[in-house]
Amino acid sequence: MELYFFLFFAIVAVASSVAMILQRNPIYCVLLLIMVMISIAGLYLMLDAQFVAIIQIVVYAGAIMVLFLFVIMLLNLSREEGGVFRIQKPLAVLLAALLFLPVAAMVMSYAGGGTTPPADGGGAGFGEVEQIGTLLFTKYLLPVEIAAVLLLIAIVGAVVLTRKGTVSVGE
Amino acid sequence: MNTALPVINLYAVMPQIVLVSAATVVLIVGLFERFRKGIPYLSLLLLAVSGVVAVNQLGLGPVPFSDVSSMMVMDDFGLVATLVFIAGAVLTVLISISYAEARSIDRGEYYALLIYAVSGMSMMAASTDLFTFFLGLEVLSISLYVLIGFEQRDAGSNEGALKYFLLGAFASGFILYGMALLYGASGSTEYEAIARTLGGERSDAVNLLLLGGLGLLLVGIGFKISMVPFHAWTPDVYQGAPTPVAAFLSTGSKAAAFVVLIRLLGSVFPGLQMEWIPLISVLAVLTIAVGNVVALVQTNLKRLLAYSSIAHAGYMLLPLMADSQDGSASIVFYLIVYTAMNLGAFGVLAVLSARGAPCATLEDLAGLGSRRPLLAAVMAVVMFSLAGIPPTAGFMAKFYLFSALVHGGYVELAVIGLLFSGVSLYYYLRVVVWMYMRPAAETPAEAAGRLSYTGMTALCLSALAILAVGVFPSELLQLAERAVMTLP
Repeated sequence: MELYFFLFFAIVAVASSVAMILQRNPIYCVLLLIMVMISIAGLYLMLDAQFVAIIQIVVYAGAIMVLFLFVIMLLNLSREEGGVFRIQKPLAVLLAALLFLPVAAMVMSYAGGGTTPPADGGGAGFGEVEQIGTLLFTKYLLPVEIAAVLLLIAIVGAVVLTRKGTVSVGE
Repeated sequence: MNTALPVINLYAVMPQIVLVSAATVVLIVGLFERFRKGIPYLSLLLLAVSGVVAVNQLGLGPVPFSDVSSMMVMDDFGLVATLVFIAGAVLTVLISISYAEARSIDRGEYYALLIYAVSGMSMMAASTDLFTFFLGLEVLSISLYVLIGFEQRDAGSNEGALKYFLLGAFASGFILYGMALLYGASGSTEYEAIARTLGGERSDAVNLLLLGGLGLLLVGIGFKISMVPFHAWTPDVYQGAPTPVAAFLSTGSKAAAFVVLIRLLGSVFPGLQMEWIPLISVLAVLTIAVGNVVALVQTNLKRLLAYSSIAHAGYMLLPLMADSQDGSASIVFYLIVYTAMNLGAFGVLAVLSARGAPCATLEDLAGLGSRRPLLAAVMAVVMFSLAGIPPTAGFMAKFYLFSALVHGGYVELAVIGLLFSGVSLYYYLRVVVWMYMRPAAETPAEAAGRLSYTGMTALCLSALAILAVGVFPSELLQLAERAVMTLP
């Protein structure tokens, strides 16, 4: 049963990402990307990582994709312009192939070995909200606080950069 | 489920707490129009308070943040670095006052973001975990993106901010990727745990992950310190950014990245020395060469200083190879001196640009020696120091740096560095020649009238500090040595 679910999600994910690359209409691209995100969320769910799965849907399929759609619609991109990247295309294929080799070698080298599992991972309740909450309040207390400061700075920055009509004293 | 909350020790993050609160206070007070003139002075006061807090903690020994995980440790190394950042911020605020008023960017947010950036640097310097390092880096970077683009009506400022933002986001991506690989290899984000994995038996797969992780981290950090080949943004961003921000960017953010680099390469990755030493030495030599050679043909002063700062980053990379306490101490010493020098150089431009047209090219400096003798004298001291001529601090810094390198057995690298620093004499002295030996244009670019007192105070302070350290370097060197003593 698990195998069938895995195959379903995996095939949908791969097929939609391939279709996304081949698609020329940016709106379809975004919709296909959402499909990829949702199927990956399904894979997370099968790994018992409910929290990550939900976050995947809320953040990626929800917020970030809406942002993508907004930008595409604002810029009124209807069709990918061909011909601009004439030299870049074969170059990109070449570079991707070159990059593929070391990555493939790296993946292959795992066949026998394996890596250290995370020190605090695994076990009962792994990936559940409760465990994540506990970690956030104990081990990762300081990073959470710093992240709060980071968000404040981002808000201040957004306000500063978008404010129109600055008060002028010197002029 | 009952969870025992960890016992935390606020002393471990006291300087950061004070800095973040200071920035927030400045932000709130900045909302009131009637306090507008007072904000820079409030920022100076609060920065001084944080400096005092940091000085008080010197010598207390490393204090981890909590009993569960350390995340940040306030050791002397982090504290000395924090003090350098605070000093840099104080000088930046001083040279900002007249510049920001003239450009009407003297808003509370400007000074608040500057202090937030300092808190981010301090977090980077104190972190002993990849998590806190990355968050500190982002606190710093996001503040800088906004500060660079602060002159909203200036096209150059917007261009610089966008360039730095896009490339900086890429660099952050590289760093995150590297961290993910390191986590995969060691199962933890703590520096110590990663070092332990490196020290123990490693399979080929783990080795590959560690190497990949280190490589990607070096790409990201290399971007922040503008190491060749990740330097292309530097001249454009420095040219576009408001001049005091460029000063801050070229000193503080670079120093913070170097401090992290010393911690990472020195205490986490010594096990991979065989791999990173050749890599860093080639990149360091390339950085020195590109920076110095391209600087020769620059006529725009900010671009000239940008290439000069690339070259200096190259010098500072060299002692990492020596892998000794002396080497690390010489980098810390160089960073302190470099902060004073570069803030001085950009400060002269900021003070000159505050009124009238911005002072941008070498021609604008013609005849400065007779028009503004004090300012020209400061600029001359700074240029001599950047070139490394005694009796300035720049000479002592280069001296310690190259002697650490020679003691480490890297004579060839020291010779290459010295040769290129000979090349750099040409473009530094060219600035002095323009100031003293060329007649002024009919109508000088900058308006007549007095220069800002605060800006001049900052400039005279840094020039005096450069001369004082050049003559009596031992105190500062002891501080640098004490800082690196606490590194494992």
